Amino acid sequence: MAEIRCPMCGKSNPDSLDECQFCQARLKPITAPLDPLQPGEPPTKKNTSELEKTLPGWLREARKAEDDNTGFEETPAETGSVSKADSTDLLGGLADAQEEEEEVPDWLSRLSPDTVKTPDRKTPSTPKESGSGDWLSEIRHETPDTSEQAPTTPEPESFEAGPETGSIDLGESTFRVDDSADESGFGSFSFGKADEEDNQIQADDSEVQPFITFDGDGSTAEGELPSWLSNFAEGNSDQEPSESTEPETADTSEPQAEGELPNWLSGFSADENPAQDTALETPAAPEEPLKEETQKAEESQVPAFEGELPDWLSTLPSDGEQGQSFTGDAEEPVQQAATPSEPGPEAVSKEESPEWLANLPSESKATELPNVRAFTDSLKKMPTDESSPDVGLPNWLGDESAGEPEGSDAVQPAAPESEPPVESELLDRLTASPAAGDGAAQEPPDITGTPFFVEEKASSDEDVEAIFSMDMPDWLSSLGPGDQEQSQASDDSAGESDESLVPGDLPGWVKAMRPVEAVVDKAPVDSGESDRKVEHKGPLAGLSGILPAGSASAPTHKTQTYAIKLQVSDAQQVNASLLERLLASEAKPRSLSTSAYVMPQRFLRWAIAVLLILVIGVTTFAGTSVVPLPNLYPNETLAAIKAINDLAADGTVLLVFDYNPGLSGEMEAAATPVVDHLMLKGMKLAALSSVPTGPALTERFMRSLQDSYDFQPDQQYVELGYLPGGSAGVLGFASNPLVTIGQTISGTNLWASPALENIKSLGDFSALVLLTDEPEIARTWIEQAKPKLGSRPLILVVSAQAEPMVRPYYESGQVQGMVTGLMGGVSYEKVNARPGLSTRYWDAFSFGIFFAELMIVAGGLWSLISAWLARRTQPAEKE
Amino acid sequence: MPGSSNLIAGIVSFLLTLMIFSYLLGDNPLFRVAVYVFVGVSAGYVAAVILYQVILADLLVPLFTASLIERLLLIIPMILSVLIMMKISRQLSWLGSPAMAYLVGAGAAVAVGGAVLGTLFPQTLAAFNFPSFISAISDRTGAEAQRLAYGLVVAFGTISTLIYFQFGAGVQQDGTVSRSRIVEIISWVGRIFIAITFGMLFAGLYAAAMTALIERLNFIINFFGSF
Repeated sequence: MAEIRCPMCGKSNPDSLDECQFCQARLKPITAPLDPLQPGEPPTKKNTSELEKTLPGWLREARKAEDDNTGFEETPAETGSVSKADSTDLLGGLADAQEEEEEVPDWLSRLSPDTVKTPDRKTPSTPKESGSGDWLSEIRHETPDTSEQAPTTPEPESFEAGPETGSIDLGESTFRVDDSADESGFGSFSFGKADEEDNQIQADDSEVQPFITFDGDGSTAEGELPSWLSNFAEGNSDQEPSESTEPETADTSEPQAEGELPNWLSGFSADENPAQDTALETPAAPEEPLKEETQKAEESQVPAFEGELPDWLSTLPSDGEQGQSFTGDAEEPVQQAATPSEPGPEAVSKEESPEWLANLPSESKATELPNVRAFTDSLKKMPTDESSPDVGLPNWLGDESAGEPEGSDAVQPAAPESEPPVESELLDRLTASPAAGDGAAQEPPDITGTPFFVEEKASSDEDVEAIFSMDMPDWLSSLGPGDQEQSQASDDSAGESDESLVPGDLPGWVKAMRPVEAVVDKAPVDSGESDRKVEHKGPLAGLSGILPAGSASAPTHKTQTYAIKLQVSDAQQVNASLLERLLASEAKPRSLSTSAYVMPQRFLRWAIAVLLILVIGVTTFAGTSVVPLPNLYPNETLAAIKAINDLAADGTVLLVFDYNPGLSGEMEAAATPVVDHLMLKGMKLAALSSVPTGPALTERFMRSLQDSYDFQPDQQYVELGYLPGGSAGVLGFASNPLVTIGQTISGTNLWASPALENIKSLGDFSALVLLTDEPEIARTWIEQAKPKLGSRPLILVVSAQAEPMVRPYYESGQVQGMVTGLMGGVSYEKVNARPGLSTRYWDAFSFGIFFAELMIVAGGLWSLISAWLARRTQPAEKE
Repeated sequence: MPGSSNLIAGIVSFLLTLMIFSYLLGDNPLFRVAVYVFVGVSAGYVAAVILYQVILADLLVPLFTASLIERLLLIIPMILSVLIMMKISRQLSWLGSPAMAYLVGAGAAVAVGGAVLGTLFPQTLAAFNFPSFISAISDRTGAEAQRLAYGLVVAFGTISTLIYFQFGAGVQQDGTVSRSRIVEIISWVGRIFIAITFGMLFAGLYAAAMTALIERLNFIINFFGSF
């Protein structure tokens, strides 16, 4: 598939698309490619309806307003304000068009279909009604030279007397007015590209093809035209209307002075090359009506302009070297100027030509501005007969010529005494000459993309710029709708004071449209010596206008120098080296260390267990007494013996069995001599336990001794049972034992037994003997019960594993005696000379201790030898 | 038949003992069975003791036999007991929170009070023992001096042990972080006392366990001897 490149974004798109699929820009021009316009080639008609969407927004709205308006045939005099309103219907939207940034010039807005009449209108156009073409015809009448210089002015088909369509060639775009099928009598008002077919400019290089065509009703409301336009109509009424379709552009007029070309007109010259405005369509205007208009326009002359010529008109070159001069009453319909019934502008004497017209660029300039010359030539040929219908004039111009657009809100004349703004604006553009006597820079309306004239390619950029750089005439910028009458009245004096126009206040939309050149001060800015000073050193050597390197920019202090070397402190250096070593160590492969084979530990454990069992078993089984009993007794055991010996007889001793069944062998071995001693002493015993398994152990223990001493339950000893609550229970028992331990499940009151008679509190007990294998239980009873005991002794029978934790209590005096494990039991038995279980276990215990000692020594020796050997092998490996 | 019961009890004890000794060979089912039996029997016995000697004897029976005042006072522990039973249910466990809070609060108070009054103060006073110190100085027999020396050793050992657990360190002049020299020396002495203490604990544990082994072996021998 063929591809087409988008002119906006540059991306490729299929050929079948009309708009770019990326940026939505149009890929194909709306209009067909236009052939370059050749001088002297008559313009070809275009269908203006195709150019509808290319029109600016204000113009489209004006056209819409035109459709809504009725009574375009009203006379300008009768319905001045209405006509103005009507005249501005077509262009009325211009004033209301706020959406578009383009603001309608006042002169343009004043022009209405009512005032612009074509010669082909059914209604016979009065001299004033047909003023739309009169002003142009007047122009042509006053500029006979221009018309003479356009012998080869083509007779475009589209230019006819009273054509249905008119067109204004603006370079590549063609401003056409198609009045073909419109009830209101107005044709389509569109812009389009210049087309060879529609191109009505056939002038040679030295001339500018008249391009402006006016159509519309032949009658225009009188009074809608500005004064300058009406003056054209009057002045040139006896002149043949020049071809109005192709108004001579400012190329045929001599500018006032070189460099004084209005901005807006000079701006047009920049569009020398045909604008690639695809939005503009070539107006599809019938060729025949345009031809007729062209013929009639050529025949007509520009009506003489009696009043003060606007600058742009005065700058129009006359025939040969002078531009067209527009004289006459502005009230004259413009069509009169367009009617080719008057002699050409050659008939207009130079004396009568206004200054602005006289100051139009010369022929040399005109050669550079063919469009303007063409316009002027066409104006010359426009019929000046008032009765003749407006030929070739666009509606908007024809309506203006029909009369003063009194109520025109679009047209804003600069000053009352100034020239009619519409004509001057138009002619300024056509002649491309600076406004004569217009000291202030006028700001022509910004017609971006819609150049007013068809510019030949041969025309230089300067000429084009000169055309569109013309300043807005004062009268055009300041003239308002209400001032049109004043402008008309002061037309007589306008010509005289044309040079002394006071710049008026430009409306906002005009300011917005004016080119940049109009804003920028043309006065050469004296930048001083710095601009003329040429730089001799540095990278900018040879260039001028460079900002001097002043002392302000130069550094006043020495710049701080930074050391290249990295500033690192010692600590940072150490950390960095450490990190480096860590990273390096990660990269190094680790050596696999072979671990020594370790013998399974269970064999060693079995061996030790077997040996130990053999030693103990053999000893126990043999019942030997090889190991002598200890001769040194522990002090705590002796203290316990002493404490029990000091107990009063027939007292009750509280025995607390708080040891676990697992160590019952040791506990029984250690407690047996103590309980035996108590029983031997004849003490009553009360057994209590704070652990749940205590009562069972108590019964087991007491059964083993019962046989020896014939202790009877409830008589010699009482089992109080289980004391719940842990330390709280002990505290409660210590505080009130009768309440804590009440009655049994059978309802028996234990405290009523003979063993517990006279026992009301813990202090009534003779002693408290605690049997425990846990240091915590011992601490609990010591902390909770000892304060309640008072002076009663507290004797502990503890396991060997709890002795280190409990001894401080004995050392502090809180415990009066302590029997520790099998050693304590043996000592107690030996002191009492009552051998018992402890004595029986003593040999086995001793051999077992000895065996353990041997194991510890052997293990220690083995560890030392192993370490010594390991140290010997490490230096050898390092070496 | 006490003889038969004793025989059965003996046989069961013997078997259970051997099953426990089988742990020398490693963890095995026999050992586990013996442990499970021991745990179960212990739990059952404990439950029976609590039921008979606490719940029935101290709560339920007095509700029917005690005086009115005692009965009214028993309502409070009954309600708390029921509430703490709600801990079984996840949805109603919040009901047991007040009872549990009472238990925890009461137990903590008893424990703290006993620790302060029964351990901290008496032990501290015993460590000072100024009267003994004074008498020891004047004593010329040597008995008090011996006690004094003993006290000094104990005191020095206590202080050095506490200093050993002082790990606060500062930056030295050479930039290293360590304790002072004198602290290091004293902590080294305290480490010796700590080691001696650990040795004593191990010895006592070994002695207790060996005594238990002796008793069991004696039981086994006597059991076989009885046949």
